[in-house]
Amino acid sequence: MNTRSVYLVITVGALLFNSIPAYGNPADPLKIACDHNDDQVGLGKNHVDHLYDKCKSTEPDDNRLQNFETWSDEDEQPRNNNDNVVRKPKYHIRDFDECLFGNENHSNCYVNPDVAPCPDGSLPLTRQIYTDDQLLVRQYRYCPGDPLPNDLPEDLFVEEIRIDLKKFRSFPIKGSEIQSAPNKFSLRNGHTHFWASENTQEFNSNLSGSNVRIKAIPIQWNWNYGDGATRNLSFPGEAMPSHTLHDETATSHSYSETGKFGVRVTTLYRGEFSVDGGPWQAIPGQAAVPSNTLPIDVWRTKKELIAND
Amino acid sequence: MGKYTVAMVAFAVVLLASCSAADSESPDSSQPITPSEQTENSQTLTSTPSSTNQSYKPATELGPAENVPVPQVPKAAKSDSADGATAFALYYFSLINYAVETNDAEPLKQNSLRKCEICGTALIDPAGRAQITGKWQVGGKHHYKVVDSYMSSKNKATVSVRFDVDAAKFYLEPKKIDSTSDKSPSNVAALGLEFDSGWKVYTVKFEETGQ
Repeated sequence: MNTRSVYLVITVGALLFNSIPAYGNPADPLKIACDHNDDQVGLGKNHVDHLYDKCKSTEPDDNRLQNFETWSDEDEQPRNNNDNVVRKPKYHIRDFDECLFGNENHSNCYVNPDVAPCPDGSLPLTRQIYTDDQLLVRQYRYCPGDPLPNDLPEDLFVEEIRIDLKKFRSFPIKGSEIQSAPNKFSLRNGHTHFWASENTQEFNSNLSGSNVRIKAIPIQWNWNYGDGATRNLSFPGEAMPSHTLHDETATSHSYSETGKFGVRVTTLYRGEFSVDGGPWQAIPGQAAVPSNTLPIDVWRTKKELIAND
Repeated sequence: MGKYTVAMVAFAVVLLASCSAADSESPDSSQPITPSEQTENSQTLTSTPSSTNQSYKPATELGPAENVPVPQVPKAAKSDSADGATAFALYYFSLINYAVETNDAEPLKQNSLRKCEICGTALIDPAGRAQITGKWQVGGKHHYKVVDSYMSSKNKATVSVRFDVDAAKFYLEPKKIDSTSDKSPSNVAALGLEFDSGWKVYTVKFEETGQ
């Protein structure tokens, strides 16, 4: 289909529509069907998705609203933000990870059901785009490798140092160290308690004459118990001196067979970087770092009748 | 709206209610953001309800809320810093809930700049219209927590607030539902703030997905 025929169809369609009011159709199809509920206060999706630009031209259902003066200053507000201004704006990017905010209890954040994971399984971070006057123009979820928004071409962005996932993974991030109680030993069907270390690590790098600091922050521990069982946890566990094989813990595992097993944990790290002492920014994606392998010898107990006292 | 639709909506509301009830029992992050969670945050808004002789009554199908205390600006919100911006954003959301209950958007007006489009179209103007039409809502409460606060320059900050909004029923006369809105799923609103002897909102951006 070529463009000419498309054009014709549109023209005919427009003619058809134009002719409808002449037949006295009371429901004017050219008038955009407007939700009349523009007196509902709140940031709920229903209200915010409202097409105000189109709705404004229609008459309100309620006569009392005829003379209602809207509050926002339309003259002052360029409709498409800064995209159409004559001055060519320069944009810059700031990325953050909402799970690392304040660094307090981030453990549940990475299993946030409200946020769909990226194709690589990592949780998206949040990208903000600012004008050169530091005004926020856009905020969106960002996955490793995502392109810039279509309407903001790359040459509108200030060149700045950013650490990408490949660079982040190239730093010598150490994996967690794991321990068990009892130490490297267990009994079949007992609850062996495992725990891993949790080490935030920092690196320095010199890039294009700037001093860049990089932080690797552990966020998830993926256990492989060597008997086919695996488990992903958002916390490392901790030493429990009074633990016995009777006590199931949040990070314990029970072997149903005897034998020698190798236990490993893969730690997922989120990254942040800071250029020349500037604010910390998030690095998209994660680095997966393996731990040492902890050998564990599982024995069985033999049941015998013994007197209690 | 037909009886059948009302029944459907009521059913949906019951479903939603039972969902959130189930959620709140599980300790994971799927539970709605509750005010108690905010109090764990050190940068919490401390709203001191102005002392009222008459007692507060929430909105019901019979009429709008009564004696709703006006949230007071916390001291912390007056500082030109990331923490100050955080306190201000929490205060601003408490003003949204206040407007939801009262249709009084005066405090929101005082804390928004006119170039903030969403402030007008989603909050201040609807409240003004609702004052004229006499519409009130039951539900519609915003639950919120700050997930990021960033000073983009000396006097500009962006505070990202993760929030959800309870389902609401709207009334123009007692016991007769005019319309409803569903519970809004969790989303992030980025409040762009400018400081000039106090913080004001210059923009609200909702986080876009599906890039």
